[in-house]
Formats: sequence, structure tokens, C-alpha cells
Amino acid sequence: MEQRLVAFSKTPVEEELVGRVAWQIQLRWFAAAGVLVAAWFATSLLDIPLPSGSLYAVGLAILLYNAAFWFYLRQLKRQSASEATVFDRFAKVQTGLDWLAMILLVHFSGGIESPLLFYFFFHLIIASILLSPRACYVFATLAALAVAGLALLEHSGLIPHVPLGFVGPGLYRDGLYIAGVLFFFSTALFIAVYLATSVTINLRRKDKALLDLQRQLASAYQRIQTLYDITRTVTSTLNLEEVLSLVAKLATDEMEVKACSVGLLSDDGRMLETVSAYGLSDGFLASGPVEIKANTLTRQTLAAGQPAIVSDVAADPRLEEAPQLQAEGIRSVLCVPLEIRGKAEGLICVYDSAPGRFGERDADFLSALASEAATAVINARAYHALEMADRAKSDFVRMVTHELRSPLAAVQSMLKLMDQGYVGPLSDQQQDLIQRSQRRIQFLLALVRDLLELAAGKMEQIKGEKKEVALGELIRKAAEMMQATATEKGLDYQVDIRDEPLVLVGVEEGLERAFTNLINNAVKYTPPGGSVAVRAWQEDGSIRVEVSDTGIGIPAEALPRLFSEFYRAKNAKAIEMEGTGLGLAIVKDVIEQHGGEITVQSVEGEGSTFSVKLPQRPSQAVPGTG
Amino acid sequence: MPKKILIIDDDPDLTEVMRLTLEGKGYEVYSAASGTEGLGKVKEVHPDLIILDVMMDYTTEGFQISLQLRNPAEDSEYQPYRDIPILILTALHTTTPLRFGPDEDYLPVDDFVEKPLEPGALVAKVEKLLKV
Repeated sequence: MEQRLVAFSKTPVEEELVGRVAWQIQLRWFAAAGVLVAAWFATSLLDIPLPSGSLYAVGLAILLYNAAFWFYLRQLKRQSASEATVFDRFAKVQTGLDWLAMILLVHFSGGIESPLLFYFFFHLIIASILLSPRACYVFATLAALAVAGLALLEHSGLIPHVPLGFVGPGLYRDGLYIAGVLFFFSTALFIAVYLATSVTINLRRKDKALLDLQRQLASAYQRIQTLYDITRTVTSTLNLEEVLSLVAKLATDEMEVKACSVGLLSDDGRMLETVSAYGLSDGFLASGPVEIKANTLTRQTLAAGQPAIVSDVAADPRLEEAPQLQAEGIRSVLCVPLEIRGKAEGLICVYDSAPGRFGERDADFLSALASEAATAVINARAYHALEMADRAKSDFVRMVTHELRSPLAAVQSMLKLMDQGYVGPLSDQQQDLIQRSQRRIQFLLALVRDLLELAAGKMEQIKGEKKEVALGELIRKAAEMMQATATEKGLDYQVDIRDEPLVLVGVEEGLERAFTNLINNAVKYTPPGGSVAVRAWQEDGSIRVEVSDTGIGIPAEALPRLFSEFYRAKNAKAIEMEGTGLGLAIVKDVIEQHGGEITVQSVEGEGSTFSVKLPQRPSQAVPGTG
Repeated sequence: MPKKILIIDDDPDLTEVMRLTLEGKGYEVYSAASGTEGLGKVKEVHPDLIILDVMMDYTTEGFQISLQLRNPAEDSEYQPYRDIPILILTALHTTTPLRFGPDEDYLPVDDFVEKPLEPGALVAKVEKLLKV
């Protein structure tokens, strides 16, 4: 029993056996020393007439064979021997030699009269720890027989009796005494073996249970880890193919099976298409989508919403495609439905070459995987729908804007034609009305342009190419463009762009427009005599830009809505009637699309400061471009 | 003899604005409301300058006409017209996902005029291309 237990495990139990053998060898050093000391004590100090030479010889023999054992164990350890039977045999050899030594010691210390007899008990207890119960009974029997044999031989005078001197002479010849000692000695031995082994059997059973538990725990942990990996992928990517490929691979690895496939129902629900597979041959996969109607197992599993287990492909009537599966070397199949919003919309199947491979626990695990895969499908579908909706919306806005622009541009062109006298002279009143019309059209055109830009900004494919942008240079240019206006207004206009690389990866046009907007606003809304400052620098790996002014400021109630589309603060309207209210919305959109953030601090009547923080291009910044 | 200008644009109002502007400067103006009609007029009139709207029936119609005129195949009937200067009429870049550039291979035209039209700017560009 012990052997089977040990052979079945590599680690804990066997390590314990090695440990116990080592412990036995260690104890034996003391035992041998004890024999030598006791022999000397008894013969020299107590003057008991024992054959000291023989006793010393036995003690030395024990030392000797223990040294041999110690050496052998070291060899075993060095070879990292893992064969449990080797240690088992080793333990038996040790016990056998100990028995021989014990019998000799008993013989040299009075035979049946020897108090050393008691020492058999602790030997038996050690044996019960080291050996199987059966071996213990064998050794107990051997001990009883050996002592009986010794007593008989001494009694019959076939071998000499060593008298102890302090017990009554001739006790070893007393039949009743011998019978009594033998009876109690033997029964005590067997009772001791029985008690000791029943304790160790219990311990070993617990060891085994613990070991099993440990294994189950490790396997459960591994499966949880697998599920966690998948969950993480599901939440970190919207790439359905990637997630499902991972599901197929992890299911195959974790369940230690031949292959796995993930299939999804077609839109009309009539076909099951394999979207991801692992471990299956190209030839097998080339057979294409499976018609649900023609495939009993698929149909039933989808309809029942329950796992289906095929123990033997050849014998299962539900598998119409059995020949193909067999050709692929598949004998067992486990399929679980992939449920999306309570409806089975696909299947995950695992395949193995051994028949009867799958059980309930496998089904549970695969079902858990399936529910993760289902989440991935839901996410990917939702994202796709969103993307389509977003694109449709942007296309619509772009189309509408174009339709709005064309007539406006035509009207504006005609007004200009009149205004500039190409079609004859105008009266002052006519000229005034035409100029007013032009201003209103101008505003509408600006609005349409901003709307278009906002829509375009939200639509990735129009955003333009991403490349390295030297932001310092870009801001300097934007600031220069406003220099004339600022001077005209008599503003104190400070531009402080630090001479350090302020480089990021982004869309130049968008960034240019964003910063131009911010600087224009500052100049526009600052009364003559005020000041405007544009600063850019590098801080903690980010690019910081600040545009501050001593302008009209932003009313507190306007701050929360400042970056909203079509919003304009009242005091801004008072300065310029025709703003579209889209400028800051565009700025915010651009900054955020570059992974940055924009904040504003302002006191009405005192001024505003817009602060932009943008991520510096990661690593290898190009020097001298800032 | 006055120089001949062909306007290819599907917007009749803008066409009218350009006609009035250019006729005022003494040019002979012809117009076509579609690409096909425009190509027919090119052969018929053999203009000295073509003003072409980028977006007509479909987004890239103007581009295709300019390519057809500028890079005609060896045996194309448009071979005689490949040197006529082309002025492209466009809304802002942002109207279309197409991008413009000075690259001859990409968009073989000579100059751009933006909508809404500034009559003075139109006249200036026309004069520049006709080397008046």
C-alpha cells in the first residue's frame, strides 16, 4: 500500500521516506554509541560478567554498517534517485541488520533474561514508520521467533548462556519462565505493531488525501489562471479573432487535449462557421461551415444549451461527420454552447485522440471559458456597431456640410461680384445691404467650416497623417501670426518657447488649428493695453503650454460649459457677435486625441489662463527641433 | 482675338459669377455643367484655359478629367489639349478626404481657386496662367 502511494507521487511523500531513512541512520549513531557505553558501564563499573569483547564487537559492527548506509544514502541523494522501491528496500535491509544486531546483543546480555528485550519495541515503532504494515508484522514475527529460538537453544545448552549474575541462576532453564516471557513478549510485539501501524496507516491516508487535494488545488489554480488570462485579453482587446484564438489555444493546453475549435452561427442561424481553431489540420478545417440541420450533435447542443460529451466518435450516432473526425485521429469530443444574451450562438469544442476522455469537470471548465468567449463576442459586436454608427454619423455630417456650403459659397460669390462692382455701380444703401448680407453669410460659412472640422476630427480617417511634430516651432508660428494684431491693439505680447525639444507624434494641422485658436482667443478678448503671454516648456516628460491673458475673463457660470459645442459666454458675444461656439470644442477634441488635457483658470474681468499638457514623444527625442 | 476660357462646373450660379467676372475682363467664356459635356467642349472650342470644379457628380470627377487631359494615352484624342492650363475650383481641403499638393503626378493642375469666389483673386490667377 505504501509502495503504491509512494510510486504514484514524485515529491512530498517520497521526500518524506528519504527523510525518514536519513533519520533512522542518524538515530543509529546514538544507538551504536549507546551499546558501546552501556557495555563498558555494565562490565567495568557494575562488574557484571558479560562478554565485553562480543558486545563491543556488535557495537562496532553497528557503527560500521551504519557508516555504509550513510554513504549509500549520500550516493542515492547525489544520483537524485527517485525510485520509491529503492528506498523501501533500503529501509528493509536496515531493519533486518538491526534485528540481527539486537538478537546478538540479547544473546550476549543474558538471552531470555536480558532486559534488552524491551528495545525491540522501539525498533518496531521505527519500522512501522518506515515500512508497510505487512513488513512490520513480518519483522515482529521474526523477532518473536528469534527470541524463542535463542531461548530454546540456550535452554537446551546448544549454545552457551551468558549469565547476568544479578538474577536468579538458572532462570533461563525454567520452562515456565521462558514460556511466560515468550508469550508476553510476542503478544506485546504484535499489539505494539498493530497500534503503531494503525496510527501510521491513518497518517498515510491523510498524507494521500492532502496530496490529492494539493494536486486538485494546483489544477484549479491553473484553470483559474487560464480564465484570468482570457478575461484580461477579453477586456483589453476588441479584436475578436485574437480573443477566440487565445481561447482555443488555452483550452487545448490547459485541458491537455488534442485540439479545440470555436464556431459561431451565421446571421441566418443556419450554418456554424469555425472562426478559430487550434490543433486541427488545414484539411479538416477546409471542409467549411457546418449546416446545423445536417449535424445532430451541433443542433442538439445548441438547442439544449447544455454541454455534450462524445465518448467514442465511432459509436456515436449524433456525429454525421464521424469519418472526418476519425481521419483527424479524434476519438472523444466535448462541445459546450457559447451563449450570448441567453441564446446559444456558437459552440466551443475540444477534441482528443483517447476515447472517453471528457467528464463533468472538463465540461464545467469549458463552459467557463465559453462564457468569457461570449463576452468577447458581445464586446466586439457592440464595438463594431458603434464604429459603424459613428462612421455613418460622420459621413452624414460631412455630406450635409458640403450641401450647406455649396449654396452659401455661391451666394457669397455673387454678393462679392456685386460688391466689387463687376456688374455695375451700386447706391450706398445697396452697397451697405450687400455688405451686411456678406457678413451674415461669412458667419454661416465659418459655422459650417467648424462643424465640418469637428466632425472630421471625430472621424479618424480624415485626421491626417500622424508624424513627429515639433510643437515649439508650431506654437511660435501660430503666435507670430497674431503678432500684428496684438501690436495694433497695443498689447504686451510675450512669447516664451523654451529652447528644448518639445516633440510629439500627432497631426500637425489639428495641433496648429488648436493653438492658433487659443492664441487668437487670447488676443481677441483682451482689451487694448492688456497683456497676452504664450509659454511652452517641458516638465516631467510632458509638454506644457500656457496661453494667458489679462482679458475679459470667463464668468464662473460659463466655466463648466466652456468646452461644449456651440457654447459662447455672454461677455464673449458682447465683444464679437459672430463666433460659432465651436472653437474651444475643437481645441479640446484635438488635445484629447493627442492624449493630452486642457484646463482653464479664469476670473471674470481679470483674465484667463489656458493650460495644455501633452505627452512628450516617448524616448529618443530629436534634439534641436524644439 | 479674346482668349477662350472653358468653365466646367455643375453649379450654375457659380458658373454665372465666373462668367460675369471674366466676361467683364474681356474673355470669351464657355461653360459645361458636367465632365462629359466639358470634355466635348474642350474638343469643340479648344480653350486657352480650363476652370474645373473638383466635386461634381462624384467626389473625384474633376480629378479624373484633369488626369485625362494632362496625361492622355499615346493614342488618345485628347493629345492636342495636354498643354491647356487648368485652374481647379475647390472648397476647403476639409470638404473631402482627398488631399492636394503641388505634386504633378498626384494632381496635375496649375493652380487652385477656393470657394467662395473672390472675383479679384480669380482674375489674378487667370491672368497669371494666361501670361497676360
